Amino acid sequence: MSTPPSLSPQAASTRRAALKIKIDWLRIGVHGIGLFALARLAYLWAFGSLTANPIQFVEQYLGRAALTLLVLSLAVTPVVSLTRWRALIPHRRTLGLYAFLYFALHLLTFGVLDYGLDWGEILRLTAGKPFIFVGLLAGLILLALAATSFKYWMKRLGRNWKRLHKTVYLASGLVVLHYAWAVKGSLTNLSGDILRPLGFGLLVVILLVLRIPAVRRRITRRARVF
Amino acid sequence: MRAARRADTLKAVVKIELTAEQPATLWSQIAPDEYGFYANVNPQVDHPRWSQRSERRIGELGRRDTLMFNGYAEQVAGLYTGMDLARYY
Repeated sequence: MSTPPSLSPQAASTRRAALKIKIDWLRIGVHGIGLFALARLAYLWAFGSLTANPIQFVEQYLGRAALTLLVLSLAVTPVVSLTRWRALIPHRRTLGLYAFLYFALHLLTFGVLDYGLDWGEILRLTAGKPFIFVGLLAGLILLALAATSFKYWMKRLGRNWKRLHKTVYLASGLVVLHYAWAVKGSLTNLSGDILRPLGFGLLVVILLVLRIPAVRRRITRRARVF
Repeated sequence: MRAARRADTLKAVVKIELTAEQPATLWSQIAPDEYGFYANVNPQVDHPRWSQRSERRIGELGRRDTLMFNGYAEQVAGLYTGMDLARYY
């Protein structure tokens, strides 16, 4: 955001006063979306609804929340192409950071609550179970993106910042793979619990296809007509 | 006959039927890549998605080491002598 052109002291003070009372509903809404899963988890906890296997439930719940927020942050750009509602763009980062928050909680649940920081076992699992390895890979990407999400890094990395942050496409593919691999059943005969990860996969594919320049141009043009 | 099993422990024997073919089981129908006919819990053989070395009992917070054949190793291990338990699980 650039600084506005110089204003008279009077105009500046009225502007400041206006900013002070202005409620940014969009921003509140975005944080509401980001915090919803956490609030729901607290609610389920308070009412003892974390199932008979609470640690597993919390672990999987947080993983799904992370993926949901990741998909929502991926949806911002295509929605802006379709609707030209550019005010959404700054909130892409917020949603992405919430995705990272839920990933971090998911990882902590796995490492601390589930395996009690038994490093030997955690290492064996990471090396031996491809879905855990893939999930960790996606998590490392999210970590790098969250760490460089500040304006300082944006300026410092310049063109490379955009390149780096495009790895979120890879991360979302890996997260879907991690999810599909982690549930029971198999993709080949569509048995078991594969439908939910498949739905997320389809969403991610759609959101990535809408980014292909040719597709993007078409949907943007159509949006202009209406 | 399968006795000690993962989720659906045999509670009462109503009838014993001897069949020529191995019957299908619920879990191996749902996920044949993951669950076999015997459905034994074997800490030495990993389930495809997780290790079976440790387990958490319902109602407990920590994990404990998994016992061979659901804790009935002494009673039932003899039934499996000579079988490759990584293949027949």
